[in-house]
Amino acid sequence: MFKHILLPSDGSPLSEAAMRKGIQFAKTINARVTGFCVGPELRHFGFDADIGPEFKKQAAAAVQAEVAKNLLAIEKAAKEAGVPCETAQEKSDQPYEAIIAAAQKGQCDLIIMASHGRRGVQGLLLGSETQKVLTHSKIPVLVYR
Amino acid sequence: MSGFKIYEEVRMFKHILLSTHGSSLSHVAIQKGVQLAKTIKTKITGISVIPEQEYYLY
Repeated sequence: MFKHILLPSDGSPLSEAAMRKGIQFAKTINARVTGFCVGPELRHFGFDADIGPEFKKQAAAAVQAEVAKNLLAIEKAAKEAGVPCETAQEKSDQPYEAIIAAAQKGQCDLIIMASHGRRGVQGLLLGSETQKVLTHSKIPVLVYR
Repeated sequence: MSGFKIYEEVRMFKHILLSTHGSSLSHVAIQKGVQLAKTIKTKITGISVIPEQEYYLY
C-alpha cells in the first residue's frame, strides 16, 4: 500500500522513537524509507559585533554535524532492520515546508513523524512542525505518539 | 541477523479505528484504512458519531 515513507527527524528523543517505529512499520509493509533532516538557515546579523568568517564557518559546521548525526542514526536503524534507506537534508527556516517539499520530490506516499519534537510542549503551544505538516501536506501523514 | 528477527516479530498495529461521517472524503479514507488493515493484518472497528439530540420544549 505504501511504498516509500519519509521519516523527518530533528534528533529529539520523541522524533527518534517515531523514526524507529517508522522503520518497523516500513519493514512490516515492505516499504523503503528516506530519512530527512532540516537544519536552520544561518544568518548572522551583528553591529560592531565580533562575527567573523571563522565564526560562521564554525556555526555551519556545528549544524552540519548535528544533521549528519541524525541522518546517520536513521541509516543505522534502517540497516539493522534491513529496510532500504536513503537520506536527504535541507536548510530552511520553515522545516514543515522543507518536509513537504522533500516528500513530493522523493515521491513519498507517507510521512511518519512524532507529534512534537525538539520544542516539546512549547512547540505544541506555538504550533509544532508536525501540526503544520498535517495542515499543509496532501500526502498522508502518520503521527506517532 | 538478530536485528532482522526483532523487527520481524513485533507487530506494530493490531487494531485500527476507522471513523466516518458518511462524506465522500471519509469514504475514501475508510477504503484506504481497510486496505491498510488488510496489508498489515489488523482488526478494524468502524465508528460513526451522530450528535446527541436533546429537545427543549417550552
